[in-house]
Amino acid sequence: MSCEQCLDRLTELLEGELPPETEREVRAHLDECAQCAEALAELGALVKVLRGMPEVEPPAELRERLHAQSPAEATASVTFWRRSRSVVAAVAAAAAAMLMIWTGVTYLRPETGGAVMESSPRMVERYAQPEATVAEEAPDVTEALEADDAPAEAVTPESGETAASVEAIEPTRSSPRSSSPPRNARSGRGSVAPAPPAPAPVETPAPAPAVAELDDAAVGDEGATSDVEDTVRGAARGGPAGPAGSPEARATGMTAEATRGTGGAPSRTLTLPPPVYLDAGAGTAMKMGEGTPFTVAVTPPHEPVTGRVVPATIRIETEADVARARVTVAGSDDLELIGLGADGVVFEGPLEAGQETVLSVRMMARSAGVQSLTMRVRSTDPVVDTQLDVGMGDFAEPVPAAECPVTFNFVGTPIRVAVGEIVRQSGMNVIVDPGCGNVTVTLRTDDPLPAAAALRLVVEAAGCTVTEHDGRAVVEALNGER
Amino acid sequence: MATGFGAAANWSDTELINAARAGSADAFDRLVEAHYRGVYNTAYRMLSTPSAASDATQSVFLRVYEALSSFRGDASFSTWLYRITMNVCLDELRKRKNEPLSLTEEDDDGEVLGERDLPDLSDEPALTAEQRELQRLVHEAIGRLSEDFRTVIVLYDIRGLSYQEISGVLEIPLGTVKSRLNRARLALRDEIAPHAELFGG
Repeated sequence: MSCEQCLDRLTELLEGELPPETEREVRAHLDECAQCAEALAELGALVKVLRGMPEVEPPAELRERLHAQSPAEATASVTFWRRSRSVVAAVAAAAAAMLMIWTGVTYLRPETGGAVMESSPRMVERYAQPEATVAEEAPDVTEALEADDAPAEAVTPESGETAASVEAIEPTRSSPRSSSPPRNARSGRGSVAPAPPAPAPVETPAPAPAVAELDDAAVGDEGATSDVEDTVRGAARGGPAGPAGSPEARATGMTAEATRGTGGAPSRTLTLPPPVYLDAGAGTAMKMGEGTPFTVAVTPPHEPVTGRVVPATIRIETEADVARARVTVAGSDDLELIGLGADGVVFEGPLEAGQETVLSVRMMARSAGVQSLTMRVRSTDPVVDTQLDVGMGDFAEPVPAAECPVTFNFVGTPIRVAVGEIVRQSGMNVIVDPGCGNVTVTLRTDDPLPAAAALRLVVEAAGCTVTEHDGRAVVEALNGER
Repeated sequence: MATGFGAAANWSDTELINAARAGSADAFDRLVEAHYRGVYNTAYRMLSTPSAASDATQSVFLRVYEALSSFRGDASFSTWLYRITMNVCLDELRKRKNEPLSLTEEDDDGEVLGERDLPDLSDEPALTAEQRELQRLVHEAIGRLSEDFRTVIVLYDIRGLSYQEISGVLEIPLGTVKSRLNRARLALRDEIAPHAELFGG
């Protein structure tokens, strides 16, 4: 076998894909040819590095940009629910019916067209529609009003007429516009401590019913799907508000859009037990309330510092198969949850018995002190609604980046890489002027150094200089080539 | 390392696509939410810089949005999304060829070295400075590979797709994927040869 033939097969050899006889030939060549053997070793090491390349966290502004260009910004109706009789509709109906039950209140707000203009021109064009008044659903009236400075009018379930007129504007799948519900609106509930049993799940003017109505369709009866679908559309995020909570109001909402088969679909009454409040020990597995099949274990953030986004992990296990569960979380007063909608849904879907589901929740504490996460698990079959408060730790102010201790061991490391390492460890804001070129630095720490001092050492060792500009350290070549 | 772009926690991709095609903006939003990290990471490895990766991610979802109606469902959504991602990245690379712009020249803008430029390693076990430097070297070396080589390295070794999946994404025969991967790895090794001592250690 020639070297070329051997090199051609190195990947297959590494991946274990060669037929035995070919592998023998390749290995025989490798035994004799030091060069090819070296290539194999290097390729193996390279593959290891490639496989260990970390996932990079996209910049936060990307998410905002994507959201801004999303058609959701330009449309109101959640036509998601429109696919009558499809699995999607049935499943969506069940989920949204649950949402409706716990919502109890909707609010209306006149929409100005201006909000859409941030979207990408193409999308706006596609979705441009006549002005329309739309309603939004929000988990909590107080919250919605606080979170939104646009004029808002609270509507109790009794104001079915308003909702109905809204519904009527939305006859087809092309939709009036709306903005989405307030993002990152946090729960006003904020009860952190191991709470006394059973405060109302959501504070609403019209008390959320402890006994909730679920249409048969909501649990899968096809016959009534279209009714539920229409009602449910309102309850869904960003959709025209179907009045929630009161059966009468719902009936009004339904008449607005002429639906087939409205002839009083039989309702089944399901009794939801009141939420159970427990204080879980952080990191320990914990049964979610008596009689529920759920066990959760929560790992709080490793580094509870304020002003930074830190992750916590939630593991959920169920003893019995659950067709559809919904897990929501809310942060304590000064704990903002990142990347979740106003409803705080972190998981929605089936849970299989004995299978662990791992969820990650990213959060940022705005002030120092003990913070907690309120986690709620709901499912229709079996009917469960249970809640848990979990301590997220005692958050402290972060050490200023410049004083953050750093350690390093640079050997012929390019200045950019060296500075990058200090930045990574400390979070300092540093600009490296390209004029620094490819100078390298060889330097190591015996003891941790404050980041600013370390930066100065490294930069000066590389023959460059560092100055401060608007709170940023700027690294430049001494002779200032640029 | 991830095999797919990630899955929506709430709904399956198929459910979301059907709903999005029926006009649901909400469903489209969820699709974006479920997949943008994967798209961004793929683009980041293909295009080398965070800003280029962000721009590409945005273009990808615009294209996805425009092409939703043409998504047949005969390929998996993940495959389709990777194909669009690769097309956007390759378009960008071709554009760069015309306006000579290398990675190092792009750095010449004096880009701020902030957290956003650096991988989030919060879940990684402590890496030594050398390991990180190695990763950086490899990242930069990938940026010097030809488009074809870069593509297979990113898809196979970094994103963890199978030969089969790559063959679907790039619409090339499976055997071609294999041989191209081998040549790409050898080429990458040559790129890194000046720093070979780092691998020995």
